[in-house]
Amino acid sequence: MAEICCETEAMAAADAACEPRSRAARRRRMEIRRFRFIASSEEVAPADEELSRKRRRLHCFAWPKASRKDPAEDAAEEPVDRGNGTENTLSSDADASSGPEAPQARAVGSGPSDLGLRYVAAGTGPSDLCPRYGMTSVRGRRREMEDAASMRPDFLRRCREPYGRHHFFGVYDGHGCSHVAVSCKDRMHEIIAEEAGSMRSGPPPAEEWREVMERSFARMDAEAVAWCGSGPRDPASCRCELQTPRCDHVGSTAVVAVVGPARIVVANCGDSRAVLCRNGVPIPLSSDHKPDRPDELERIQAAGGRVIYWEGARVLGVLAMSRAIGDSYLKPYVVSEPEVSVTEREEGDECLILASDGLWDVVTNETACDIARMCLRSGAPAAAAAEEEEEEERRRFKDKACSDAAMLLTRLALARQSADNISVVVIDLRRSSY
Amino acid sequence: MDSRFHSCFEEWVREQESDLNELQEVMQSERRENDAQLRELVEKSMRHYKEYSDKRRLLAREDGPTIFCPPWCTAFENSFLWLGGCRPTLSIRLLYAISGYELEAHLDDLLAPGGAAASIRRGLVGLSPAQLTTVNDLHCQTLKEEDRLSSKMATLQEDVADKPLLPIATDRASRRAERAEGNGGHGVVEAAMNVYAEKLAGMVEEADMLRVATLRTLVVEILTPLQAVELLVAAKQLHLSVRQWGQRRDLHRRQRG
Repeated sequence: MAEICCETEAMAAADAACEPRSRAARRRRMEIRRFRFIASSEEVAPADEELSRKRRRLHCFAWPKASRKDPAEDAAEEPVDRGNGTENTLSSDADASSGPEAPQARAVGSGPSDLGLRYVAAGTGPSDLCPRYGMTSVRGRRREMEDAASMRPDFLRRCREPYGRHHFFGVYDGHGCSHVAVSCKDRMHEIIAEEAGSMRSGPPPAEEWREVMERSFARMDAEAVAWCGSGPRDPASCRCELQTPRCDHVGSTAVVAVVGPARIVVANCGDSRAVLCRNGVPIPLSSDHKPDRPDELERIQAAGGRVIYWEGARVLGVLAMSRAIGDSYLKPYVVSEPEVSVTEREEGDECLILASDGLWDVVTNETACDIARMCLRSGAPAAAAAEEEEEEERRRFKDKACSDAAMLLTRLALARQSADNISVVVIDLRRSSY
Repeated sequence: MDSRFHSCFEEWVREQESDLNELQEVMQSERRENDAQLRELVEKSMRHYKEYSDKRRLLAREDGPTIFCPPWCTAFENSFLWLGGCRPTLSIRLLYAISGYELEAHLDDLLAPGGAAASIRRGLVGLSPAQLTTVNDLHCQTLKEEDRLSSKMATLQEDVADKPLLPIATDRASRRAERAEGNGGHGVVEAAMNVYAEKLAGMVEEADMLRVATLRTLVVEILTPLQAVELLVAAKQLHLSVRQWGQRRDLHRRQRG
């Protein structure tokens, strides 16, 4: 059940970050105002702590309206948001730091309590730069839930300026148990951020991303393997607790995408997949690691392993993929080294879909692309119609289009008798949608 | 066997049939647009379900094993039983299936140029992301409960190899002698069997509560009235069909045998 809790929490976090239903967001704003009121009367500690705890639970996600102080400032801020949303094309790195957001940050910094400052430090300021995204992750027809997905807007905070924000998305499809997938969900983005940060002051250039990803996946794999030997854990979180000797028979796929202002970096290990929809055409940004892929077969055999056909091609007749995080008992045949693709963003990019094989087994790249485009297109008129509404309202329509797309894909997979857990993340890449 | 057991079930089947007719009628009429009326029908179905499970609880206390493996059901029907009834998660799987069929059927329209998503918003095919999330949560909770009850049942069944039944069984030879002498000896066995039967009744009760609660959460809290009616129609059709198929199968087997 723990992974389920995490999941709903992540959903809630996603909601908080990029799907602010206006009422909830308003309520949140009001709460914050209340806290601020208290803060000014020197009774800040408990409320402050409570708030920061809440925020931690939300994975420090963007909380764009959090820095507001009073209704008057609300009114003043609205056009700032709008300006950022419409003018920023994301192509210029400088926009991210020197845009209309800068004065706002200053205004908050000079606020009476440190509450506002912390928000700026932890959040992303105006999150207009985060692409809209939607996620669905369901158990479907399986009795276990071993999928996990994570979305971390602006995850390279330290090197944000002047390079622009980078956003992280990952889908992990566990096998044997859910704990490796859950570890990936909790840690992968942190590891990648550390590795990327250690390269230089800014995010690595295209050619260095490969190295960053390879090192990160290796570290993630080492952590997953070490997890098995670690101390007592919450037994409810993990069913393989019952079968400790088989703990090393646990692993996970990992497909992660780092969406930056200029390019998309995808690293993949296993049979989850990332597909880019560009000008209506699906372009796979990863290639599934199946044991019968000729180069993978060759690699496995060169390492002394065998691929046996037992309900499909399997490494040693066991695992139906040729790379994974974890699975220490199948090393060196099953490796954790990712394949990395770096794609320059173009005007015609519409969306990026990350999903576990629960989707790809039954839905083609073309159909997935068509459905996602259809949802994004049908979301656009609604958003445009809401032009007169406040910014929040417009964002809500755009968010809804993405989660509609993720959900429709999930339901299509269910309709086509997908027997697996299904996780889908849809990221809107259209410039106009920021 | 007590006829009350049989008639309780027969009555339930008749109720299912009449509720199904009513639900289908409403779906054919313009009343399908009237949420208040649909909600009323959903409540009525759920009330009948609850009443049936209340009656079963009382009967189960009298005779747990009979409810567990009801002789009035066909072998085919009984093969689907989990703790005396359908699996609680079945309603969720059913929901996935029907919402999926309709989506697949509408897919081409949906992807056609100008195919507005809005045109299919109503009904199960228009399940929203928020609904899917809550359904998934319910699915997870229900599976956990189902597994808990399954393992409780396993323990109960395995306990037959333990006290107090095992010593009685191994002691059989001597007890047979006692019986010959007219000393009885049934008392201990009967008491042990009664304890087991009571525990079975408790299992049926818990399982029924989970079945009713899961369906109620789905049709009352998560789904819209129209979606709820669609699901109930499918559930009742499935239940009645399985019964019919089982009867037909039994008939064929008798004719052949």
